[in-house]
Amino acid sequence: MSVKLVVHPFLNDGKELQLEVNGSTVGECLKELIRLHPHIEDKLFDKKGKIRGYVEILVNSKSTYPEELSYPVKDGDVVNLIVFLSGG
Amino acid sequence: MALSRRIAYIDLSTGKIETKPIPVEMRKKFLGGRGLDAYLLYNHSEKGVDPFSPENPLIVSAGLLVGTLASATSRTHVMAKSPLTGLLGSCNMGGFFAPELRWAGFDHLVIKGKADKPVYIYIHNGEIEIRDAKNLWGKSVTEAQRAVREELGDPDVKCLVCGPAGEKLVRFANVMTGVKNAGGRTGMGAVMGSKKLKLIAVRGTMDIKIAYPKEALEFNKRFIEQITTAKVNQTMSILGTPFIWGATNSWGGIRVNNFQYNQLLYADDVEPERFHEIANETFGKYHMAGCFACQVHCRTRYRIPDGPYKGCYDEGPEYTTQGAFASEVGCTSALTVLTGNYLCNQYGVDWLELGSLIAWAMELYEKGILTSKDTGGIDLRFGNDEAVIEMVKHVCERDTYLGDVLAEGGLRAAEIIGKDSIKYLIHVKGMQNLHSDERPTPALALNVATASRGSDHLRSRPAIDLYHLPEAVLRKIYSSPIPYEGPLSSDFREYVGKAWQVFWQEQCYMAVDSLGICKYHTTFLGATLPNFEDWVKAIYFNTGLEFTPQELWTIAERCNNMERLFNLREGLTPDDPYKGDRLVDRYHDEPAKRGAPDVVGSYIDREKFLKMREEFYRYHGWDEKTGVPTEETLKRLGIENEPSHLL
Amino acid sequence: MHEKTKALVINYEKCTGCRLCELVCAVFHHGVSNPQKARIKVEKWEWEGLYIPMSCKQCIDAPCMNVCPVRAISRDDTLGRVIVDHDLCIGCRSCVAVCPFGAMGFDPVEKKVFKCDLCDGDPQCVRFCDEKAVDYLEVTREPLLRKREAAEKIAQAHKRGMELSSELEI
Repeated sequence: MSVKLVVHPFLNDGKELQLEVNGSTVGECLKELIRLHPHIEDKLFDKKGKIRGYVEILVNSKSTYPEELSYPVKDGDVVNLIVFLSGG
Repeated sequence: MALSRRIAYIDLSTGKIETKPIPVEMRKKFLGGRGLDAYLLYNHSEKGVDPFSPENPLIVSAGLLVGTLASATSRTHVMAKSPLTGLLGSCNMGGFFAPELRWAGFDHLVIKGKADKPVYIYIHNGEIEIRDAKNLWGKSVTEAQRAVREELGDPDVKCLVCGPAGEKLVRFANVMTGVKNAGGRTGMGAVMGSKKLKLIAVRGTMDIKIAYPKEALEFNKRFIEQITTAKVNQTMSILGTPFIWGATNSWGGIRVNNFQYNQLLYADDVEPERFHEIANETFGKYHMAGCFACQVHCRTRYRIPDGPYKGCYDEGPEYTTQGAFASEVGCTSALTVLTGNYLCNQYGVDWLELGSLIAWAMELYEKGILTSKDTGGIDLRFGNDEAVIEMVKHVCERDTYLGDVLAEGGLRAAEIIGKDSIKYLIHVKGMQNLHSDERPTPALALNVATASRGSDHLRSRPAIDLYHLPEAVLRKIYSSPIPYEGPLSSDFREYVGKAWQVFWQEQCYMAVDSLGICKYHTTFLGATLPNFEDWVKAIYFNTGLEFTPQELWTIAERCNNMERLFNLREGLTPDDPYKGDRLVDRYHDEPAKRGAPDVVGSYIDREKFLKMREEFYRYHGWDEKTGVPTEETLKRLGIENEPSHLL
Repeated sequence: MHEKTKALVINYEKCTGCRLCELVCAVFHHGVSNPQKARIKVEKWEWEGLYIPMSCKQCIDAPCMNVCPVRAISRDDTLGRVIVDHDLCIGCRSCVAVCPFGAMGFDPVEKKVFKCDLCDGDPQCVRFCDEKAVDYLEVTREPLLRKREAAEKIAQAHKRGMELSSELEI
């Protein structure tokens, strides 16, 4: 099982991050992401462990909201972590 | 029906009032709202008209779908020549005025002349009266509305009002409705003030017939779901626009200390969550409010928690208030933001412009260009909360030297102050920029440089360019309704493909501004939000008018070209330092100092910017160098003979 | 009327003041946008930010029904509503005058009174109000909800008190 993660530069100190992770849900994939890149956790999750309001997770270009962490993924899926940075 | 609303011509000098139907042919060319306003402004003003003269027409309108079933159909548009920029003056606001104007029988008001004493206009079910406003003049935005309701004996009257700032001709005064719904930017409130027009009161109970009521109801249900289920709007409906500020600041995309920096440090007290907390504490758990028929409800209700205005009720703040009264002026106090917010709402002034001008004056003060003699003893250093609040009052009251000078707007103030003060003014076309830093994002830089009303984020900003969306998603949005096969990049630092995105958003925003729908219900903020394909359905079910998405796009192009013609007539040339489609030197010469590694060091490359601008002109069918629409473009859009004086 | 009968339940604190309820009500009943013809109206005190939706309470001992000289107004117990028989109505507007909630409207063009008919069991105001400021619930549910809401405030105060005492190590 391999899922491609594309992480907004904002979440990774200004550098886009692409990596392959394993998991059957978005939540599992993100767990692996955090294990490999612990500094992302703070920007991704709020204090209650929920995905922050300014982050949206897409699977194959489709929004996973409101399921988010429980949203299922399968081999070959692409998961994008996008951020509502906007400046107005 | 929705197409039966009339246009009224009101002359405040003579008292003459004339009304006419709006021919369907004009609807098919310009829809209504901002689009038809652009036609009316070009047709009812002479080249070089003084913005404060009786001949400058003040045009007030409701969009074509206002009051009907298409989610937030609330928007009022106001247009005139701007006393701030000398170019297009244009502002758009939510609230409840525009639907009431339609229920009272009208879509467009063209107000000319100048009353010899303060007046207000009362519009009621097809009737228009000009009435004495001696009891309203001098009153704050909310006091004036309260008083006119009492006078008319009707609590449901809705008003468009200029506050004390407009009366005193502060060149960036707002027109306002309700507590905080503001037609900000370009000083339309000052045009009202110059006409001695305190407010327009409307009340109506006339039917707007819906063409296909059952279908329109069902369509609206789906339409609203499409809007409210988007995560961006879910967050918006909890935190309002401040939510954008938090992440953007931690990234390094916020202007600080008059654009010397790009990230506010020690910002805990002005983070969105803090304002949410204050609203919870001072108003209650359910503190969000909505404009007409909107289910996103991004307006926060709160009471000022402390200080001299403790307990006063207000709404907001917005992203721009955080910019104006925190980052740009180097302050980090929620109370300063909320107090500034409250004062601006009561005076009826554009906080974006005002906060930026105060920030500019602060830099001039720190550089010794302004002295304490000029400031009247105010210690105008960055981070001085009290000085900021004092300056807000002095500008709106015009009661000190510096207050009076700043009330003239940046370009005029720079001329009065002299030395090299102009060097530090962050403006496009004489209008101050939104408090975000566009240096890391060429698309946004092109947007502010070319926006038709001066530096602005609400005319053509591809805000989603910063989201890092997959290219396929961008492709889907930007290749419809007009095919586009050029490059598109998820990378917001790129220059390629961005001109098309800005061009595309420009048509998108013109379409909704002419329909009277809020931009938060478009791809402004979310990739899945409604689009041309959805709006043509909304138009059909509500009005019976049939358009293809491509036709709607062409209408938007036509209206944008009308605005362009106006600006060109009033002196816009691409590289003019005061009226050009250009950025000030700081964008090009001073790289960003703070923020994330991909932000630090970023600046806008001059050559690449110019190439992007040429490309942008080309998409418009404008001459690449002069920015003037070609004869062929005007013919294609059917506006080669303007002004045509058909309405 | 039985315990499964539903009623409009209004929680004004949740109202965002958008008036979509007024719009959809008028369109559903008359095919027009015109709040004057809506059966629900959001009364506002804008300068304090207070919005209070007002609609027919479908009273059991309805004053409108009692005052009607031609017995045009009656109760429909299946849906728990008070209805007007327009064939009998003489347009005297006595019902408008006596309604304690201003819930009886009058259409000067049609020369008829009108009131909330719960859209025959699918109230459009409820359908469109995402905030559930207007809801459609079994009549027995409302008092339970109100109890819970009131208790929640006490519970929150209690929790805050506990937090404070643990911080202060009392």
